[in-house]
Amino acid sequence: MIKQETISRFRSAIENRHQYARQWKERTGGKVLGYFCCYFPEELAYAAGVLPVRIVSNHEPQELSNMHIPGFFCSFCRDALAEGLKGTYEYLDGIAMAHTCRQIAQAYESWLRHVPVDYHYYLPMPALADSDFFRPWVVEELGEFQGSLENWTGNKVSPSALENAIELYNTGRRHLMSLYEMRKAETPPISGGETMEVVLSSMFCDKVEHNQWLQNVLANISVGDPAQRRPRTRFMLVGGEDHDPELPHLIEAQGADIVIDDMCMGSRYFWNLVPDGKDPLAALATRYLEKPSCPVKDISATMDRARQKHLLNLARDYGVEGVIMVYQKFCDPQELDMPFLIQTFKEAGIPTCVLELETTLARGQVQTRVQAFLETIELE
Amino acid sequence: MTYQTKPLECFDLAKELRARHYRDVMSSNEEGRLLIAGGNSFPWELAAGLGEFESLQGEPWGGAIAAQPDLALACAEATDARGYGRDVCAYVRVFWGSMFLDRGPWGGFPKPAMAVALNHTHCGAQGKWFQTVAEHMGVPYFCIDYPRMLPSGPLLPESKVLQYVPYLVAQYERFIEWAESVTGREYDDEKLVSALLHKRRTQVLWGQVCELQQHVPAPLHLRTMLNLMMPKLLWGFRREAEDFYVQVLDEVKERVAQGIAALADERARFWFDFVPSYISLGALKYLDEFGAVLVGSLYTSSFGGGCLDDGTWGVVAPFEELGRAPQNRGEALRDIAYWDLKRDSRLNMYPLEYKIRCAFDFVRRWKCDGVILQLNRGEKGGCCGALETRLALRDAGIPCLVCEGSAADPRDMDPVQVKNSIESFMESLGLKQGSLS
Repeated sequence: MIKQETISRFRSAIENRHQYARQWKERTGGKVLGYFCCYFPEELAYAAGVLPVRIVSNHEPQELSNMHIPGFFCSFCRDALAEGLKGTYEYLDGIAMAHTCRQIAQAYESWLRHVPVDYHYYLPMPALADSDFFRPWVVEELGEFQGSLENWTGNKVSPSALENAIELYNTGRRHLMSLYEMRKAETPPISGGETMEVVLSSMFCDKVEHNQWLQNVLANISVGDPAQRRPRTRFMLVGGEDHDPELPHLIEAQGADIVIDDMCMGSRYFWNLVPDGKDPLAALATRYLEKPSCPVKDISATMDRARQKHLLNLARDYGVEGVIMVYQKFCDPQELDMPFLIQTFKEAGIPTCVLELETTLARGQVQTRVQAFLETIELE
Repeated sequence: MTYQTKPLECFDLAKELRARHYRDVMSSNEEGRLLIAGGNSFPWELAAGLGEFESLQGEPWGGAIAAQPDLALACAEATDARGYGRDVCAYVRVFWGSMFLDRGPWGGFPKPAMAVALNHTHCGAQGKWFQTVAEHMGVPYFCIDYPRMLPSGPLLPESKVLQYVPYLVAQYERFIEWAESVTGREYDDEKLVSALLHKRRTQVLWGQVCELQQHVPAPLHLRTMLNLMMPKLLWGFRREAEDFYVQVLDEVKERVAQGIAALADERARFWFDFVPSYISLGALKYLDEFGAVLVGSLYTSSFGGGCLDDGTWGVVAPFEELGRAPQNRGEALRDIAYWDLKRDSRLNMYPLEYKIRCAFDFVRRWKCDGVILQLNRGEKGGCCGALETRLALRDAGIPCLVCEGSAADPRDMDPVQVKNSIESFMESLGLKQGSLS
């Protein structure tokens, strides 16, 4: 099992993320770049001596963004913009994003209009999952982005610097995969909530440091003796930009284990490695084109839905008994995908429960829904 | 001052052309014609190379459903019942509902032979919309990815546009190959070139109609323009569309020359952003009572032009001006890609800074007293940038009204509330009720 003092480091990294970034700047003299969405190729920024940090919301009610983004856009984009308008991210030297959904793009554009930054970059990224066809364009775009970073920072990104950054990020991904692998155990040594804290914190920290923390976790974690704890119902969490660890903690407090997820702030962030290759930009392009699709990108030129197959594989590999689908209210991409996925799981004999999220967590409602869901599964 | 008014002669022809289109759509299966379902933003001239076909386009079909509130409600509820969110675009929801129920404005839901989409990121639903149609109907599906770019400077450089021309051309080529295999038809490049020529001419003609709206008094209501636009939307790549817009332009020019107005007591002029949905038109008609006329919209203008490099809106350039029309498939595909990227019909997905610059240009050159912005619930792409545009206009002292509505779901449209907002807005501008029209 995992010790609380080990996990508290990750929790603390999330809570003190802004302070961490400020201190990193002071310590290194480097620039900090805020980014939206996990399609952003952090490796390139890191190779240019920049610390990429994920821009997230704060789960606090706010009205600041109401004048900029309609109320029927998802709370993530509205709340993330509010953090910018409040000045929470005043330490950012720039912001960037790779194209994903239109709502986050609106937050990005509003941010540029109202929050001063020295640098910004919007990276086109195809929506169709067809790696071979789109790779040349993505490679070209990555090359332009690299040039732009070099101009901004004055740091030349050498092939070896990029290869080192890729290796550093791949190491982090391997560590996280090892951690996820342990959750296949009958009694997982780390909870879904704790895992989310580990993954989320990696988006705010220097990977050199975070990888050391991860190594420490992996060295000190052991799969528990099933005899010491009764195995619990095994859930998969499927959703989008939901990054409140309170949610998985609350679900698990009802008597279940979240053993795997398909979330923007979870497995989709790190799941596949940058492959080996002579051309690091081509390898990077392959990684981002072939990563597990988010709903926005799960469209192919001729029908197949890659996400369906991926989720069914995860469910099988992790022995999933129920799926909790969470989505931000007003998140079109998730809402357009959900009925199809519910049907997919139904046909695979896996029950589903859908939870709608807003800025703050409706604890009582979630608790009741999850309890009822657990009861229906246990009755079967 | 009172202006002369008279009915627009080509209005009935527009209605007849639309009715004929849907008769053709509904009889396509019976009569063995190829029926293709897809989004309005798909470059339909590409399909013209396949020979005769009819298009079952999502947005106009959704608009036709919206015109029948009971049907719209039934369709929306059928989609709700399948678990789709209420806040997904209402056009998507009523279109799917129509398909699920096999009910439509003219009877049932005609089964398409294939579904196509341009996943153009302004409307993030497009790809999934027709993917779901294809899955439900059990027909083949093809999707084209349209790149989303934001300039690092104020405007997207020409080099960036040119960089993405091959991106689209390669996908168009893939579509042609796929469509040949699916339909068993041989692709005819001459038909493609001919369709493109007609499309460009209809775009130019329509753009010129939009420009004539700068005249005081405005020769057309925005609601009239929406009806006139239907042939352009449904099959703007056909010769008969071009012929129709020649007539429209002639008649509108004549109205301008004779000072014939849309509204007899035009006292104030307003711009509209973005899509004036069918179900909001009744409420918007209330403006007439204040002598206020909607002279154009970002949506209607986007089908005839786009934002130019200097940040103003301009009519799409005709081939005559460019010196040479496309002669073969390669040139035609490059042209489609170039203009789609450059300034064609996707003004609404332009970067925010373009949108704002264009809004100022519309207000200035169309001599508007203010702007009405409608936020259609669920239609996220169309609403992107609307509130930022409002802020920029407001800061420049240009009055704005924001009202909420829906593209097609009557449950999300409150005409009384919209009318109340209009009334307050008009009063704040010193406009009194009491129309002569």
